Amino acid sequence: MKITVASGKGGTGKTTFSVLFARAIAPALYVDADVEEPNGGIFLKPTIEKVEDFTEPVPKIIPEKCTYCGECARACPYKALVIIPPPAKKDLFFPELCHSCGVCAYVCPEKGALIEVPRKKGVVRIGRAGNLDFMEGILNIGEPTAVPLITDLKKRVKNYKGDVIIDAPPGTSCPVVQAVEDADYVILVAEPTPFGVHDLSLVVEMVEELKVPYGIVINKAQEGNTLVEEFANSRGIEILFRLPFSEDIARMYSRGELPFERFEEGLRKLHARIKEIAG
Amino acid sequence: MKIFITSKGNSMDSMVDPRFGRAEYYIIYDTDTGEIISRENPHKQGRMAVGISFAQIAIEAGVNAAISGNFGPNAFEVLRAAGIKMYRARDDQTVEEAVNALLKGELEEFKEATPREIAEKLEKELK
Amino acid sequence: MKAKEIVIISGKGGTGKTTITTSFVWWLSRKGERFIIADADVDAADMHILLEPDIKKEENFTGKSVAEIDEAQCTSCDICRQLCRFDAIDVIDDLIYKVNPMKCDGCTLCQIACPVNAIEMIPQTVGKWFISETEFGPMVHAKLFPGAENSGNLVTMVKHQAHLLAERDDIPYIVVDGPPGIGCPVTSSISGANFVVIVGEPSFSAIHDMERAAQTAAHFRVPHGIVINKAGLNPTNEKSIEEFARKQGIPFLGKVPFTRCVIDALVEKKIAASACRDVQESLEGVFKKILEVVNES
Repeated sequence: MKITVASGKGGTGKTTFSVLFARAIAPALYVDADVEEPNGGIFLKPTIEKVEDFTEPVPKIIPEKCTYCGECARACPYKALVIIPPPAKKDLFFPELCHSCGVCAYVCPEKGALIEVPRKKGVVRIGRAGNLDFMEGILNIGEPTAVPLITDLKKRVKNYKGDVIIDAPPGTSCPVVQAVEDADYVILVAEPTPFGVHDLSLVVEMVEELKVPYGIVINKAQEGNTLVEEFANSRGIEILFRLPFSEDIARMYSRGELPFERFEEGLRKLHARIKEIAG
Repeated sequence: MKIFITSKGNSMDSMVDPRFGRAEYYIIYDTDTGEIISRENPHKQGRMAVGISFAQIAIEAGVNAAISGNFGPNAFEVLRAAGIKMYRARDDQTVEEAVNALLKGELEEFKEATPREIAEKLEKELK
Repeated sequence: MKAKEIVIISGKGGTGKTTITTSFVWWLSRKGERFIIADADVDAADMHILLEPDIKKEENFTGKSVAEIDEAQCTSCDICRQLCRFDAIDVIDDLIYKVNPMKCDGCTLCQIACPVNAIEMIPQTVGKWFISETEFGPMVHAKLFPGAENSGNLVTMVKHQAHLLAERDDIPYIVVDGPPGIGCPVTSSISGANFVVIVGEPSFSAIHDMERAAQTAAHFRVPHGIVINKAGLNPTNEKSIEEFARKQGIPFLGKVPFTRCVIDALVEKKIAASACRDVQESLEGVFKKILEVVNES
């Protein structure tokens, strides 16, 4: 079963929960799809067995064959190519704007003048933490979009035999949609503050559009604080679990540790419940 | 020589538009013939990387110099590769005033600064 | 006289930048200054939760175009689906071709390649922008629909609308809550600013983002500086931010402490500086300096 953990903005405890959950239900595969800032590995401390480059094709102009006609630059939808015509005859490429779409290569009228070469945009690291399989994607700084790397991660886990926990990027933009899209179930982590509830409502909107079953986990829950419950009740959404607010946990977190044993049993029960709902 | 100026309006009396890529208009002034071309900027509502497209207009027009307030990092790179010199006009100058200042050598060339330079300038100002 | 723009940006989202921006708004208001609030942080628009704007005007906002296949013209040749690098074209029964708008990157390759011109690029409405009133004055803000991305022209538009209001009512300052991260929307938010506050957070990617932001501000020769938020949470990382700033010559403006008071203020929807003495004190000097610098330029 593929379970994705998502949240509104960063800092709500999505990774905290994903990591606790993955450890509790192991054997399983934990995938850190927050490729711009993956930090699940900090807590799981996996032994890394393989590091593979993530590359995408980008244009390369061969000056001897290029007539500097400028077709590629005109056609590029992202303005990543600039051609300065003769007599100057210069070409400029802005990699941080390029989406590797292939338009430039397609429209170039001179055979061999524009070729595509692989450009490393990140890495995928694969390993193990005890009986938990681990995978994370790390996007190089400056790359315009996280989506292709997340798509790559999804391809890699497609045929995994066992449960997969995907730690999604924060927010509701394209990369998150990519990570949530074909999950069997989505867990939304939220904080009981006005901001937290507001952000939660935005993620709920997104998940509803994608038509994936989902439930809520409250992080930093406090006695007497019913902000998230009120929201959930008004929409008929199930509250699956509560991680209590504790200075103890916060301090452990800042040291790169988490109280795995404390929530193990509760999380295993949660897993069983999710299997019931969407398995 | 041909000078490319970003402008808030379509005449030489208009104020210089300090933004490069998203300027309202651009004016090309030919110092040899006195010819003036003024056009609305077709890219000003563009989503992204507008500076690059706008810079290409200047390149295709064969200008030698560009005057604006702020050249974004992408536009800067493109104009520099094309050998077009960039000059910085003040907010309160008209296109005509900026052009005259350039021809008299009174207009500051647009040079990138580093954070350290800005920090030092700040420290001096706040002393 | 053109209004002075003070822009507050951060690394990736979640730095609590809203604390700084709303505290600045509150402080300016206490000083009797008039200003427009421009919220360009559409990825995580939180200002409106604290400021509770009363919407006066609402407009749709158009974003990137996605491809659409005209079924009547389509000959099911499969060229588009084979060429598409984003897996955005689905086929049903080997006959009907449809573009998945959530996956479509808008690259136009299919449109260019289609032998019968059956594909068009359709601009999408990706959000809305608003002009509202708050207790502190007018506010321009926007909301993006899920799956949409911020763009340079949305940020520019929010700022532009704010300048129009400022000009109309002769208002001297515009406080801009900028988008997180780096890239085009951030560049747009910095262009034309009179001061940029970079809110730092003790994390790896944030340090890099801060560096990029500082370089962009310097490129435009805009005075700028770093403020560390949530100080006290991770002293080791804070030190590295300060050191980093010093090494790169990036101005360091100050720190805002992370206390119980700030958390409580958040829950009660109160502005941090108004509810917490130490936040107010730590920011007083920073805000004074900012005003001094912008009024001089």
